[in-house]
Amino acid sequence: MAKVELSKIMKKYDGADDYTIFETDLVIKDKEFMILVGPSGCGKSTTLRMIAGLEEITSGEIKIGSRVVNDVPPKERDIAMVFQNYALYPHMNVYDNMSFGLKLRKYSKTEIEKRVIDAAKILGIEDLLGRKPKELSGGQRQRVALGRAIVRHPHVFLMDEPLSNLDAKLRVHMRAEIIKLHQRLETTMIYVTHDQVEAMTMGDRIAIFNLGVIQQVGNPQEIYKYPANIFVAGFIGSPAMNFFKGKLIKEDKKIKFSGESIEFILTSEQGEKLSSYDKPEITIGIRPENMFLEDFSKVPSTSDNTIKAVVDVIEPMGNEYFLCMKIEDKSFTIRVDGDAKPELNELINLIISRDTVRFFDSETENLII
Amino acid sequence: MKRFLKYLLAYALLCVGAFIVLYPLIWMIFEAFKEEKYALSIAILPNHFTLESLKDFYTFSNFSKIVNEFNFGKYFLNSFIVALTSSIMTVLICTMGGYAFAKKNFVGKNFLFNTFLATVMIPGMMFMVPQFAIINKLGWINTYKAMIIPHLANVFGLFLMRQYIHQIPDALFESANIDGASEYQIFKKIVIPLTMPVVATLFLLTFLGQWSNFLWQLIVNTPDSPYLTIPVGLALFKGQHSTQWTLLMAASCFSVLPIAFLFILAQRFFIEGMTQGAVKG
Repeated sequence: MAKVELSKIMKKYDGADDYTIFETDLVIKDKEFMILVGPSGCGKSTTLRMIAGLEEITSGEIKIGSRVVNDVPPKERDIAMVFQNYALYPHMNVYDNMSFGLKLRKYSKTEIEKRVIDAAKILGIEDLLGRKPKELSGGQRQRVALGRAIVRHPHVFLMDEPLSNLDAKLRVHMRAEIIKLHQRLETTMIYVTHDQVEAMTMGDRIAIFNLGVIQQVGNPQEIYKYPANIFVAGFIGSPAMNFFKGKLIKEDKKIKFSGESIEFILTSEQGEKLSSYDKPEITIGIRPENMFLEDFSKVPSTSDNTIKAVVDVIEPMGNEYFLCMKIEDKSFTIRVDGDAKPELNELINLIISRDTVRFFDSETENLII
Repeated sequence: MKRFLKYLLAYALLCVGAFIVLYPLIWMIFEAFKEEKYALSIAILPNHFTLESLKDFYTFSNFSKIVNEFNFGKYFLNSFIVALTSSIMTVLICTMGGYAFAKKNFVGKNFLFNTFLATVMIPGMMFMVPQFAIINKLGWINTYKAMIIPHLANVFGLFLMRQYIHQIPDALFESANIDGASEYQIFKKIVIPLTMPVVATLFLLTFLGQWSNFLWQLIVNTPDSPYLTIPVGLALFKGQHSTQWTLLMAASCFSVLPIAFLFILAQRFFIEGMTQGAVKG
């Protein structure tokens, strides 16, 4: 069993005023692929390094399996780590790099050879075993770094932004390789990234960090559809979710959202759930793909869900367009079909898929529905 | 054509420069083979070039004389022991110290390092009298210890190693730590191999410094000491009224051999970037 449990973890660096990590609780299940994602400085790498034992924790408890590892040195935690800059030993060839940890642990020569060859086969680097790191491309180095982790057969794999130094094409390729690797090895993996696409595509679950606090933990779909707060909603998804501030107005039996240049009637279900909301302001979030051009709408157009906006900027992506729209001073982005023929400065009708609109408390920024 | 002329000019200038630099060495070699009576003459060949005159002009006897009559072999061995031991110990101490100052955290690290660094600004001569007093009190006069130990505290070496190790990515050490390496294994298997270029440089500089160290080795040895080194021994060829130039040059030829050999051996480390490929780049 290699469940990893963080309980009330706190981290404060010497001389710092604030905590880098504040009261973090996280349970990573056995064999789970957990992604820690967030913007720079949010504490995700620090959390990973604390799990690895490379950073001391100020307070709290870290458990790997059933063992509390707070005071256990990194080499005794039965973990392997892949670093952002690969951290290959430049004076050793690929074989020696991969076998270094095993030699230190006094494995037999035949066992070491077997493990290195097996890992090299999995990663397709059998031909590179005699080369030094400087003779390898970025992708090959990354494979060697993965290989060095694999041969150890650790209980937990830790990966600290392992793909961020690769070019876009190679990154997509290696992303798939790591997913396959996880399926094949069936080991607990904790993967740190700032790239939300990596987070969404790779992980069984995602933990989103901001300012040293976990904002939400969940599977990618859940987080995308029901972000816990405005930060998560804005961080996950590209282009980002559009936010509009406004207020709820009761009209007959219906509730209307009236905000920054946008008005629409809430669905009856939304109305019911928000009937008790009595704060003066509310924030709504609409994903760019949930506002349609009339001809391409997936929901019927009615007076309750249609607004008018001007096309301000057109960004053709080939299969689709990103349109920056404007209503008075308020700008927002929508994502429309590649067959659409948007015209610059054209005033068009937009149909809102009201079921997908998320409502946030403007004060706490937390999701209401 | 213009490019060819440019190259020609550049090479001509380089040749002139190389000649100016090498001339003392060439002169020393020719002088070492000359008969005493032709010492310090500008000519490198006899006036009338015949086999007889050549034999009269040049001789190998200077070399046999310095070995047989002046106990030069013993000076050579003493110099070698002092220079080699000092270099190995200096490199070891500075690498360990440099690693600690570059990659370890301990209370007062920066203060301690800056204090060490500040001592570089004090002229070395200032230490000579107190150091001699200590050596004398310890009863180390006429010993290898007196020539080796006071020079092991090499702040320049510490600074050199610290700066070099500082630029090695932390991830390498962290990775070794996770791989299961102890501090000793990290030092032996990661730090030493990765710092080889600068280790070689420091070794060479220390060896050179100790090999040619004259003043300190003169004052911690009495004239009858069995531990006299080459620089002190060379001084014996200089009398109060005259100098035995050909013997001095023959001895000097011997003395530059280890240095030249070391330079040839270590030069690849100066040009080889050992950390290339360690991290993305």
